[in-house]
Amino acid sequence: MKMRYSLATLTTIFSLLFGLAGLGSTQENHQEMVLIPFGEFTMGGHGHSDDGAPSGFKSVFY
Amino acid sequence: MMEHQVVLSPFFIDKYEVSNKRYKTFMDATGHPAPAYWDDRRFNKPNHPVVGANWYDAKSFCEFEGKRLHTEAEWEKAARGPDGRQFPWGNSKPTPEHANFAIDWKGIKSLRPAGSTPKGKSYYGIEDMAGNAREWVQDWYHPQSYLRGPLRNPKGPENGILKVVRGGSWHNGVNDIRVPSRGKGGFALKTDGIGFRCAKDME
Repeated sequence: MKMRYSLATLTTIFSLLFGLAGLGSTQENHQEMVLIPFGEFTMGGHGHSDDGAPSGFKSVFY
Repeated sequence: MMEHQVVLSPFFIDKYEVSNKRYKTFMDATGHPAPAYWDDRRFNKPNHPVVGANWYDAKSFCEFEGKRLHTEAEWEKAARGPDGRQFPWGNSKPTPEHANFAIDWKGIKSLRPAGSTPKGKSYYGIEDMAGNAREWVQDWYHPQSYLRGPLRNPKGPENGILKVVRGGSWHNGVNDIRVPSRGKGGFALKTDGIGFRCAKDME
């Protein structure tokens, strides 16, 4: 039996296949990056604190 | 530390902390030694953030991926957003749905897989910036480095012994997972509470 698909259908199928594959890859490897735009922001303040000690302290060379 | 305005050029930053799976790719390709805790079942699932890597390990990994460690200022902007938040998600107190940190809650207190608390993502959509693993940043530590550096793209002191770590870990209480809270550690320090993520300039 011959099956015919329109270009739009094929495009949709490929988009789904490769789109989902790409999404899965991103989630699995956690390699996605986010763009932080140019601009000014407020640093410090708000009870800025310095806790002084690193987390963990298992094998310390401090 | 006094509040002050800083201007940063645009940059890219990892949405998630570097996972063990990503780190293994680096080890396999370069022969770089395994970090501490690599064989510890509490921390070595592929999607756990890699911990037990010192600052130089973190720097080497980011360079392997064609990236770099972010500066302290870049970390703070990515976590704080444009509206000066106390926590990445806003100003409400953290719950276990926002962050993995040291409070009494149901379940086992330990490191969790990257991206386990999406409700705690920052204004820019970045995850795990409070709790889980603390993060190495590029800057050397100085208590007043904020006030000494330039107000445009500050990179911290020229040298030092301690490096800045930000974000608090699964060991820390509420105060230390606030965005303005700073931590520090020797550059060779390897703990089960410190991981990292990478950044890249916008070309």
